[in-house]
Amino acid sequence: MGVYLPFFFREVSQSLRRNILLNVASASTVLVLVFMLGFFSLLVVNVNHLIRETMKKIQVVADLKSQVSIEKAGQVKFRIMKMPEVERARFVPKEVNLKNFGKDHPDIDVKNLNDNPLPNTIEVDIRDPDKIEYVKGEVKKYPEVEAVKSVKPETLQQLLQMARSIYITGIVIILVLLVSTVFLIANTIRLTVYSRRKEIEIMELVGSPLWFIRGPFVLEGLLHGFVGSALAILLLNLIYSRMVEWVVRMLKFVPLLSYSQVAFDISLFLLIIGILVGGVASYLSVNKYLKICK
Amino acid sequence: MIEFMDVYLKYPNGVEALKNININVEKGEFVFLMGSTGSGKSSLLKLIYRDLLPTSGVVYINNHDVTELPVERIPNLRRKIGVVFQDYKLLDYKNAYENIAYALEVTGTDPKNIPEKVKMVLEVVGLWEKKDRLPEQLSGGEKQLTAIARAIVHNPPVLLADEPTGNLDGDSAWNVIKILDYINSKGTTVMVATHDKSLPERLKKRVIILKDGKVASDEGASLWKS
Repeated sequence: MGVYLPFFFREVSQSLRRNILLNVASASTVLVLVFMLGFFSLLVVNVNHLIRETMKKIQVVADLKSQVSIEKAGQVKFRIMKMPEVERARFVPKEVNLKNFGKDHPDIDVKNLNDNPLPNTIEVDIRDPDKIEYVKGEVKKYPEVEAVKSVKPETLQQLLQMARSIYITGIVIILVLLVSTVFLIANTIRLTVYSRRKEIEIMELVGSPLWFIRGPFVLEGLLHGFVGSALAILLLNLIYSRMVEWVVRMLKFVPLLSYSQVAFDISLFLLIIGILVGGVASYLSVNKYLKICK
Repeated sequence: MIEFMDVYLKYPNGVEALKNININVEKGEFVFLMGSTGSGKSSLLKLIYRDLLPTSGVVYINNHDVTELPVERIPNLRRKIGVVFQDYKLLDYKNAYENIAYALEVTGTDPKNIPEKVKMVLEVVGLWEKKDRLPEQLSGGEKQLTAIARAIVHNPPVLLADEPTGNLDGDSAWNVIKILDYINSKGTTVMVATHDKSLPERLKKRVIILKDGKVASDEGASLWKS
């Protein structure tokens, strides 16, 4: 093994120098595809973030009967929190509810009311908006609960549906991109391999081990993958940062993630994908010219 | 050394390249494999270095059935069989010395042993003086001698030559055959596929004639022993 390595690396460096244009083409293919992959990954991550943020706004509010003590209300809250569908639950005293009502309806002077007509409530955040009706039914079963209402505006539901469609489409596009990346890079690398088919033929003929024949090509592929994806990450960083600035300025209500929040995960994902795809594509390409394996 | 038992070879396109081949080549023998184009000479040689698998039958090299050899072991077999082709298969950008050294480098030979081995085989084929020449600066005969030097650099017990003189004039062809004969005299089993009848006549060695994929005649099998 040791005696192969110097020759192995010399072959790779010679090939890189001899086939500059093909190497640039191969790394550029990785760059373009990894950039697109990164773009859609960021889209998916952001839509996922949007869904999570929207979910937080989906609540069930239980009005407690007036005679229910605060201790009893606390017990009910804990039991509701134990439901797997529930993200969290909190007790809101009627004074706070009145204060919030006053904030929402500034035309009504709540301070001058003789009696607080609002009940103590328990606000329940739901994990999955599809479970809202179920949770409502379960909460309503408590004898301490007078009435249950849900905050589920239609627009929120529509937004959620749209976000989900974008999320699923994004995932599909990522998968399609991954497969096409392997094929496109394999085709580009095949040109490099084709230019060295005579060496491959001679290596096979004189009894060079198969890993040694494939090795330099796979290493080249890994390098193309590394260089291409590293450049794609830099480009993505630059463009995405600008885009976030613009969105934050123009569409304040859209909760976009800043690049620094996702940079490490996305960069690592893209780098690993780029390197892996480069290696796998090269392996497939060189196998095409290995007669011994047919 | 090399034994074919009931070997048949049919290509995927339906062409029957070899039919009922039964040949035994002893260690140290020199055999000419003759026949017209398409008679099956190259196919027969390819079965020996496992470039092809027979449709049925068995091929033994040194009592090992090569048809059962797993793919990852084929390189080991190839290091024990030198092969020479009509088109030389030399790398244009490497000189004679580098072309031969390449065969050693890609098979994991210790770099400090390479110069000595290359010098030795270049001297055997008489090309040491021209070691720095690129293939384009060598004559056809010299290119073939370089290819032979590369084929024997691993000191293989078997040397196969597929139409080694096909592109050469009479004198160059004879020179190549003489070198192959010299290599054979040092103990290497040599099989030469050719359609040039004059070569076996001059060298007086065993001749196997193939016709339509069958052995039409096998003359002088005992000549080498004498």
